[in-house]
Amino acid sequence: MDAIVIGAGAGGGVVANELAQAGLRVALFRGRNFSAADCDHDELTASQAPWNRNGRRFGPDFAEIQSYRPDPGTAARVVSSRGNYFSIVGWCVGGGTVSYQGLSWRFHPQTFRLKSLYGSIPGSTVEDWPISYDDLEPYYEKAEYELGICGDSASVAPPRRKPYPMPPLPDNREAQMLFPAARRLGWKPFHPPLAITSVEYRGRPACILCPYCIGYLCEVDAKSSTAVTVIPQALRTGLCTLHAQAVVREITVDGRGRPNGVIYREGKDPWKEMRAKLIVVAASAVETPRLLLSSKSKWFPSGIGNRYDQVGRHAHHDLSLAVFGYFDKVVSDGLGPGPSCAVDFQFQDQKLEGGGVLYNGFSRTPLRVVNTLPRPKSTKSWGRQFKEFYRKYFWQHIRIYCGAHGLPREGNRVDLDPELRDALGMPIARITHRAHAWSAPQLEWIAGRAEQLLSEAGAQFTIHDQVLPEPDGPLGEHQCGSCRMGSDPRSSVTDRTGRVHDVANVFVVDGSLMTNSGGCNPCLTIQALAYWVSEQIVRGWKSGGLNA
Amino acid sequence: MSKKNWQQITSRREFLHQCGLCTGSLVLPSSWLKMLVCAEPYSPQAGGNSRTGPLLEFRFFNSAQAAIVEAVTDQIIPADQQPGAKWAGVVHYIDLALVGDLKDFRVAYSRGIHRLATLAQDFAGKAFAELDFAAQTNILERLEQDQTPIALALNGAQFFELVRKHTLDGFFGDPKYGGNRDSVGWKILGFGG
Repeated sequence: MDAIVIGAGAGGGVVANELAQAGLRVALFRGRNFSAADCDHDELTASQAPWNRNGRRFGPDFAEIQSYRPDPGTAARVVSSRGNYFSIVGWCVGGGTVSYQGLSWRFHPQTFRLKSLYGSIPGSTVEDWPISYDDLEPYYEKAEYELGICGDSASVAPPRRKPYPMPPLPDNREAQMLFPAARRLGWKPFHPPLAITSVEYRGRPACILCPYCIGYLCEVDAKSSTAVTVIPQALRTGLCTLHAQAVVREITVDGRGRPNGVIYREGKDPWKEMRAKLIVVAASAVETPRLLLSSKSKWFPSGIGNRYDQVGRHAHHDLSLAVFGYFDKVVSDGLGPGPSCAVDFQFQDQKLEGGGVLYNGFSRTPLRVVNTLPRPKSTKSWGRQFKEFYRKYFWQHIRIYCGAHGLPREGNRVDLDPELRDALGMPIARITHRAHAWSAPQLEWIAGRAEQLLSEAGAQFTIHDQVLPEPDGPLGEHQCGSCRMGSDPRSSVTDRTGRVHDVANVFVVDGSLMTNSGGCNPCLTIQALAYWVSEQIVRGWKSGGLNA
Repeated sequence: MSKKNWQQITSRREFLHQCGLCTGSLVLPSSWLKMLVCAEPYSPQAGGNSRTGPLLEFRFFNSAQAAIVEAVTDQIIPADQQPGAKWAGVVHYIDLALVGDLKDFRVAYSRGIHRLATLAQDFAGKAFAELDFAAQTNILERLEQDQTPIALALNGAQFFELVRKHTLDGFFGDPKYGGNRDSVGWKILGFGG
């Protein structure tokens, strides 16, 4: 093989295709495959459903374990993929992009230089990114076109050269209420960018506006996941092979200290080796550091890329909080996908570091609503009142999602549990994590804006939900930062091209690379980074440096 | 974007409306449920008691346990002008799940049911299933606060929460798992499935 890509999700799918299109022979690893049979409307097996009983269909198998502790020095407890505290979301071909909602923001230019903007932030290890928004802008554009993003080209920021390839989805009833309300407040509402086809796009049909969207495999391939876009393209070159059921244990190193392949196993077969000239790790902000740290040799006694003990440090995620408004009339037309009106306050108020973004969502399905729509304290969790409450408000509420920046907190880390191993004998990931205190006041502020918006739209009352993921809990969705890019090897894992410091031929392409969270859904940024890194790899390959 | 595409989207939306995917704005005619549940019409007067025997054989519960669990589910989602958990067959959902995906919860159910029976005897002097609705509510309010350990890492309150969660799953989840009979949980919400 020329290249091995470990992780077939948002980033790995993009890189596999870019390398295959450039003529490299690529082996794409990991992630259970799924079939058309996985496309149904079963809420009890949907992904991302904390109430689901059969495991996250597009997430990890039930047998997986990790350990978690809030701070270094405290005892870690085992967390199972059966529970809600397992720090991985996507675990299939396409990764999280199969079951996500597809929100596809660009990060703001300021997000790439938080330290310059705010100086050192107590308790945080934040650094500026080694690349700027301007560096990444062409790759955002490429990701929007290659994958297929719909959105409001007229929305104010961040600056863009080309319009979105598709117009926004048609307004649903919530949008018809929220847009005028936001304008009355003097704000600038826009349609949130979504990785969903609003019109037929490159052979895929337009979204049929069904409510089974977030948590589900799209039944018409309107969701622009890597599983229906770049991965099939990569496979069609004939140069990319998919090892969907494979598990990669470690990266191997040759006698001169150059990584030269992986040890893996497929299903229940014995462990095997595969050789390649370059290796791309794109397995998520938890699994990527786990693999690098598991790859120990006399050349890399504490793991590949870990010379300065940086692999797995700085792991964090962004936080969110939902605010619900309750109305005296039906406010939904029952159509999916749901998000239809956004307001972005990021960096508009310099006193509020980072600001925040809000948007409405998601489409309503019965179990999602009865498990997530909060009740006033006076309404019991069972009985006649309970039934009456959901019968009344199923169609009479609007959920506003509020997002805020997370920050890398000192002490946070993904490393290997010193004792525990999984069923295959591999060391498990140990998550040491708490949210940085910076996020809470941001969330409170943005939640206040959400309440204002809902009241202006006519809500009779609003309820603030809890912060998610739990601030004193493991890494959740939007995890990032654990193998961050930087110019100084003593405070980062890769250089600005995504190449691991001191190693010529190992690259990282997933949320791990992100130096800090963007305060909003990170997928498009991961994919823009994937195009950016791919270009560097192909350039290095063609010039002969990587093709040794 | 061509105009044609927008027309297609609009017609798709209308199509979904016609399929009942967006029934939120409809008011359910009172005869609607009866029409759909013609085999055994739901009668508000009879509440959840219009049925004489279980819909299916029980696979895990014995008949006394099934009677208790059925009564608990019907407290969690009671019948009113529309059916409750008893009519929806939620006890069958739980029973089937306990010999399938939820088999890890068997001990919790066996011990939890026993705990509930004890509370009913201690505070009302009767078997739980024989108490009237209001008396059952009282006992469940005690269980909801009950810190007595009943199994490893499970107290009475946690058992109640477990049954509450499984009742929601059985009432609002896919009918193929044995509950949500005739999609009644969805119809109550005006959800077209």
